[in-house]
Amino acid sequence: MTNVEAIVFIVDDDLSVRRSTERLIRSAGLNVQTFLSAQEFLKNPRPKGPACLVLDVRMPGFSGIDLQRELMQLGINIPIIFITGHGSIPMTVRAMKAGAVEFLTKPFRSHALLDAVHSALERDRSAYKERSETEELREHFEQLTPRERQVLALVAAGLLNKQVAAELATTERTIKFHRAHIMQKMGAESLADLVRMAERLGVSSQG
Amino acid sequence: MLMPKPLLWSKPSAVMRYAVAVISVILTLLLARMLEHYWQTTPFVSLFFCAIMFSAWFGGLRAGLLAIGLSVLVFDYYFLQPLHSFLPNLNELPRLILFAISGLIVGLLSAAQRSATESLREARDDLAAKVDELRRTNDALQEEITERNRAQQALHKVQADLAHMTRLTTMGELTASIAHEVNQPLTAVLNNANACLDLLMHGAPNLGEVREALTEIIDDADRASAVIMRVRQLAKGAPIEKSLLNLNDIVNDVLTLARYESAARQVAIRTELSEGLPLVLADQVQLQQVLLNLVVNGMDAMSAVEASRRLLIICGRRETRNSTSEALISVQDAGIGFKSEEVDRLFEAFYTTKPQGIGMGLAISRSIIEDHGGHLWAEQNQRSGATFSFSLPAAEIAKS
Repeated sequence: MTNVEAIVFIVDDDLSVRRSTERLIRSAGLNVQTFLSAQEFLKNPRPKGPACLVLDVRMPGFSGIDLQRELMQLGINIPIIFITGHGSIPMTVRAMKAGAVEFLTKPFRSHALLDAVHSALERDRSAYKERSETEELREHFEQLTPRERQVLALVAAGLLNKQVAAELATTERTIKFHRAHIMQKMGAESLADLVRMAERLGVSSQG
Repeated sequence: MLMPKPLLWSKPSAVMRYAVAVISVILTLLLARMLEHYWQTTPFVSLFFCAIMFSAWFGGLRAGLLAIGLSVLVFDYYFLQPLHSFLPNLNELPRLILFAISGLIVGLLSAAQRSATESLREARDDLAAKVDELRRTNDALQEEITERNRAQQALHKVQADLAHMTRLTTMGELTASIAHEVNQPLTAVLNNANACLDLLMHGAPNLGEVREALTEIIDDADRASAVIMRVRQLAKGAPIEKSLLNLNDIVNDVLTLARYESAARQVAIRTELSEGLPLVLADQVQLQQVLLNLVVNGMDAMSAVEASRRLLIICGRRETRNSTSEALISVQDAGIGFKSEEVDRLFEAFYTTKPQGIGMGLAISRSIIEDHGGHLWAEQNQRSGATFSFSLPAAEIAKS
């Protein structure tokens, strides 16, 4: 799961900067995909694995800052390394506050870029791990019957089997039976494990 | 300069003139008496004619007439029979009359000659005075011309300095853009060079990739140095040098420098350049300055306009005015435009609507274009913004 290949996206309108940055990162042994505009980046489907984005701030039309905002609105949480001709302090602050990994001024040192790329990928790898775990959990959760989901919600809320049975107007035996099933389907090793999973999925008795 | 005088005395007084007439007749009488006494000769007539001629020549008509009168009396009294009497013998009368008439003719001629000479001299003096006056005027004029040339040269120098200063001011607005144009290739060079190092560290390096990276390094170094050269040309105050230019190249040069600035200001620039644009004979740097100024002005005019509407259109085409071919470049913005009463003031020195402007850009631009035999003018757009255009006469190309 974690050994899925990472990829670095580059968005820059300048051909030689784009090509040379691609070559630099590729020669460091990473996968690279380049785009010459923010729109093109948004249009293309992106692979699911860990990734980061090397983004030119100033591009005609749709700027790097615009793209960062757009990605945030779309709920795409990809680490961004900004590169710019000359960064004003307010612009840098805004970009960093919005979660940029690094803000490099051209001409930047290649090591600075590679370091930033590595740390961005590192960050996204753990985020990716979490993302895929949550996704796995969600897949397991999808396999539960509606009744089992009800039971899970109540158990996660801290109710005893007896209380759950009373709540759902059934017997304690039935609840025990459901719980065993739920534990098995979700791959939980203990009750505590199950409660944590439920929390992560945001399952509550209201839901 | 002194003029040679035709007479010894320019204008003797009246008393002097009459005195000379009387004295010359008396001297003649004494001389004649001496001659008669010592040599028994009588050359009286010619001697008296001499006295009359001298008097008329020296003293004019009236002095001549006085000398004639006196001579007739003296001749009659001393030399005609009976001697020492004013009443001559009848047989001597024709001699006396002949003497008087001859004396009159001689006197009149002499006086006429004198007066002619005098008026000639006067005319000549007049002429000399006029020539003198003319010479003085000419000298003054010459001095004024020299002064004027000096002033003109000083003016040209100041104009050139001002153009240079304005150019630097305009370039100052583009420093970020210019730095970007150098930093882009520099970034690419660094990236490619580091990539090469990484590639060569591998056991079996991909030499094709290394070669490609090196080629790009060379291209980018060329690109950076071209930008630096362009900037240096613009920045230095080089003397004007006219050559055959393609205005499309000027537009592209200027846009290279302004490209990043326009992206930063979110201004889209569109060019509509015709291939048929005629060549012009002009100074490259000065034309770049004019266009740069118009482009920066256009971007400034749109700073208060909504970003999506910021569009600058640069058109280049061939025009025919009064049956002569011209190259025309126009820069159209969608900015705030100007008021119709402002149109004349736009090109005045120190007139500006920008808070940080010095108001020299358009004034200098117009004088540059007019120095090249062209025109620079402004028009309001129908919808919004303004269009600044300049035209330059097409260069005459010798066809072989």
